This record gives sequence, structure tokens and C-alpha cells, in this order.
Amino acid sequence: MKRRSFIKKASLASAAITAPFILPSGRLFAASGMRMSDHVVLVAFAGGVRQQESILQRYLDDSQSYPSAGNILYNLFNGAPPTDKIVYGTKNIIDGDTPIPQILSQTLENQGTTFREVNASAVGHYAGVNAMITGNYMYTQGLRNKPTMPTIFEYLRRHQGEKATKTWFIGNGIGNSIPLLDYSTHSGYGASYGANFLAPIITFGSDGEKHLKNAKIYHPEDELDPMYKMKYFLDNVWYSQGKQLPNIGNTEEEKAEIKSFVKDMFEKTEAGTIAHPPIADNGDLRTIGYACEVMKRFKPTLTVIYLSNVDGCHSNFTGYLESLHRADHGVGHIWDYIQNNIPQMANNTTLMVVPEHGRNLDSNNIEDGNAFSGYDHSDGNSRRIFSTIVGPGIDSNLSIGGENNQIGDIVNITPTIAEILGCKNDVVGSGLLASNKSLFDLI
Amino acid sequence: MHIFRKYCIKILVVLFVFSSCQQDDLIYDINQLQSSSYNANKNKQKSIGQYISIVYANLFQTALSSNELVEITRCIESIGDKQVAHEIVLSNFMNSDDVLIPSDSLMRADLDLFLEETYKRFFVRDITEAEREFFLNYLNANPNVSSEMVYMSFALSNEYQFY
Repeated sequence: MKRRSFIKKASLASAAITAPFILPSGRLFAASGMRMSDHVVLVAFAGGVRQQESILQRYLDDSQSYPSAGNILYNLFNGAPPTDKIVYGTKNIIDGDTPIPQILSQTLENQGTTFREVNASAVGHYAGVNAMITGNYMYTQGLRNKPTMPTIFEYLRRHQGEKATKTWFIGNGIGNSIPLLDYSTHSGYGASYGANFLAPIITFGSDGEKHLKNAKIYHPEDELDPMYKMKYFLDNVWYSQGKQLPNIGNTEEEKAEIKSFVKDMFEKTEAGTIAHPPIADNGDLRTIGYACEVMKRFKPTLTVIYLSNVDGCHSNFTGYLESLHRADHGVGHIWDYIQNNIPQMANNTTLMVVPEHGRNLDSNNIEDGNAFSGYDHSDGNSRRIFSTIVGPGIDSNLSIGGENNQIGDIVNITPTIAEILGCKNDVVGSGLLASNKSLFDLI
Repeated sequence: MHIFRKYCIKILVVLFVFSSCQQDDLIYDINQLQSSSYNANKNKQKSIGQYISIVYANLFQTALSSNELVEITRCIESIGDKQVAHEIVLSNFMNSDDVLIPSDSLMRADLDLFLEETYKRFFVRDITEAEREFFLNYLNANPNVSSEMVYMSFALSNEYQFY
């Protein structure tokens, strides 16, 4: 009886795996590889993070010639925090004197694999994230232009047939051309395979309160349906003679769900029930709170979260340490929230944390209120980053490379995501990547 | 004498041929029609700022302040699916008491005039007969369709995104 049951289940499973299904592109498709997990969350520590204050845990020792070392990213890495001159926490008596309590009982370094020394290649904000999500160096395009090479969102949607609401790019703001990264201009991919972009602290901030919150909710059948019918007639007339508009391909149901989500978020914001981290005193952490809401609502296959508060390091090193410490707090919250509040994603999600680039070895001449010098990003030290990956099938407590042993490159991130989500062969087969190797290939 | 008569006849024949009546241009007494596309000259997409400024002016018959223009532009940039973003912003406009839309009874009283004015207001062109026929049929068949819904469909249409 057990044998019969096993054969029946095995047959059904085989049929499910091998049965081809039709993609939006119209071609018949069979999954090209097994998924390691059904969801990937990529957190981009944007704005430039020095190895010295992050994975190397040197705090002020290396940057300000002050003998205080220690780990201020203790949700990410193992290591004791600094004990002297604490400026990165919340305010008890003076600004920053109280470190934020650790969220995770086990660091991500313990739970997963850390590439300790990775090449960032590009050292500009837009260029860094662009390289990360396209798997290409940004040699042939300028700022304020959409990527010329396909993004991982487009690969995923085209080759895995994912719906638009299964890919989200959530940014802390709309500066630095960030909204342009939802899809590329590549002729084989483009808008129809793009991700849903959201900059929640603007959508649900003061501007959104004023201009979006009071939106009328039209009845789906009685009002929206005839409205769309008339619009589609007008669009059909236009298409016969005019140009098409970029469209990321949300279906009517998906659009309705997004509008409903926006309405709900305004209500939750007003009620103070957004899934923010325990401390949410900067834009990155508030962005993370809304990102958690997006994940809970849409259960995306791929979520990219772009944090950018650390960019203040140019002129405010104290603020940079605060933002770094909070980015770690936010990552801990994301992982904790997924495991405890989104059952569909718990134990079925891979989290990747990667800075888009580093910062200079030597400081500039700008001092902040603590007389700490700032750091820009233009030299060789700016090309040094780390990468931490945790999730099903990822080796735990594995450390790859080191300060004098660089292993991995930022362009390995896109093939890594593709491998986790089972479409690496398709992505590599496009012939559009700078490197066909995932980080796993380098272990 | 014979030669003289022969030349005279030839000259007369030539004069007769060249002085014969010419046919007038035909006039069929119908209106001249534009054979080129009505939309052919709209080939530039409006920026977010242009779109919002124009739709605001169309709906409120007054200019949008520069502060509000910046704020609304930021709101639209913060949402990736622009149709969703536009729909939310426009429906927010529709909740304002100051929006100027013909009443439903006024629209129903003279659908032809309403449609002609709506096409001019949003698309800056005349309605075609095919478009007129569609809308007359549709609006007559759907008495619950309001002028606000018609305005929303025009403001969200792709042609309205171009100039």
C-alpha cells in the first residue's frame, strides 16, 4: 500500500515538474533547474560601505585613529561590539550612546555563507546596483538612463513566467536614478518583464498623504469595468496610429491588488501598525517596514531592497555608523519577520546582503560633530565589498576568502539569484552576462 | 490664288483647334476630408510633470501650483506601474470639490456635444465618426456610465500621454 502510494505521488510530482507551461513570451517552457528556494530577498547596502567598519569590525580604530574596535553589525556577523566611544546607537543620555539590541539569536554569518572579500568593480551608486542586478559592468551607459542589459527581474519573468507582482524593487527614495532599475531597454527583454517599483517613504510619506491617500475607490464592476472598456477603445484607436507606452504587465487583478495595498498601507500607517523594525528612526528602516508589508501581501519570488542612508559618510561619519548599525538591525528584522510572520516564505527564502560598493581608504577633509572625518568613494578600497547568503541549501557557517584573498565579483550576484531560483541555464544562455559564474561556483 | 486659299484654310484650322473651349475643373460639392492620421503629429511622450500639469488644468480649469507639481511628480515616480500611479492620483483629484466636470444630466442631454467637447478638451482634436459611433452606442447602452468615468478613461488613455 505504501509502495503504491509512493509510486502515485512520485508520478504526480514528476508530471508536475516536467509538464511544460506557457510563458508570457508565448514559448513552451520546462523549468530549467531545481530551485533552492522559492523566494529571494536581496538587500543592497547602497551608498558605499567600507570593509573596515563592517566585516573587518574595526569601528574607529581604522578610520579615525581612535583605539576602539568592534562589531556594529551583530545581526550579520559574529564578533563582540565595541566598548568605547559608542556613537551609533539610539539616544539615552547623549546621541547614539545606546546600541540597538540584537534581533537574531544566530547571526547570518552562522546561518549561511559569507564571501568576505568581493570585487565591487563599479564605485558609483547607480552603477553599483546596476551591476548587481544586471550581472554586467556599466561600461556603455550613462546615469539617468535605464540599464541597457536585462535585469534579474526580466530574466526571471521571461524565463520563469513570473507575474509582475512576483518581482519587486523597493527603494529608499527616488534619487540616484533608482526608479530606472525596474527594467532595461534591452530589445529582447524590457518593460513587459519589469518589476514593480516602490519608494514607500514617498508613497506613504507626506507627499503621498496629500496626493494619494484620499484616492477614490471605484467599484470594480460598476465603475472600473466601463472605465477600462472606454480606455481600451481609446487605446486601440491610438495604437493603430501612435506609439505604445512601456507597460510592466500587471494584470487588472494585480493592479487592483496594488491599489488595495496602497489604501491599506495608508490605514496601517495612520494606525501605526506597519511591520517596521523595533527601531525605525531613519528612512532605511521605514523602507524595510513597508518592504515587509509587500512581502507579506504579495509573497514575491524576488524582492530587491535598496538602502541608502549610509551614503551620508561623505560628510558625516557618525551618521554613517548609525546608518550601518541600523541597516544591520533592518536586515535582522527582515529575516526574523519572514521566518515568523510570512509562513509561505519561512524556510523557503534565501536572503542575500551585498553592499553596492565600498569607500575610500583615506578620509576626506570634512569633519562631523564628533570630529570624525568623512570618506568618499573613488579609490581601490571602494572596490572592496562582502556578500552574505543565507537560506535553504546554503552552507552554514562557511567563510570564503579574506582580506588578502578576494573571491567573487558583484557581477556574480545575478547568476547566483538565477541559480537559487532555478533559471541559471536560461540566464547564462542569454549570452548577456559579464560572468557566467554564480558565487556558488566559486566555493 | 490657289496657294493663298490653301494657307488660309490651314491657318483657320489651327486657330479653330487652339481656340476650342477648355473643360472647367470638376466640383463635386462635398466637404474636403483630411486623409492623414488625426494622431500623426502626437509623437512625443509627456513628462510626468507635463502630464500632471495638463490633466490638472483640464479637470480644474486652473493651473497647478509649482509646489504641488513637485509633490505629485514625486508620488508618481515612487510607484513603478505608471498607470496605477496615474489612476490613484486622478481618483484623488476626483474626490475634490473643485473639479469641474459636466453633470451626468448635461452629458446625457446632448451626447454629441459632450463627446465633441471631451475630445477637444483632452485630445485637442475632433472626434472621428467611428469614435462618435462607438461612444454613442456605448453610452446609450450603459446609462449608468457617468461623465466622471468618461473623463477618467480619457485622462488615463495612452493618446493623452502624447503631444
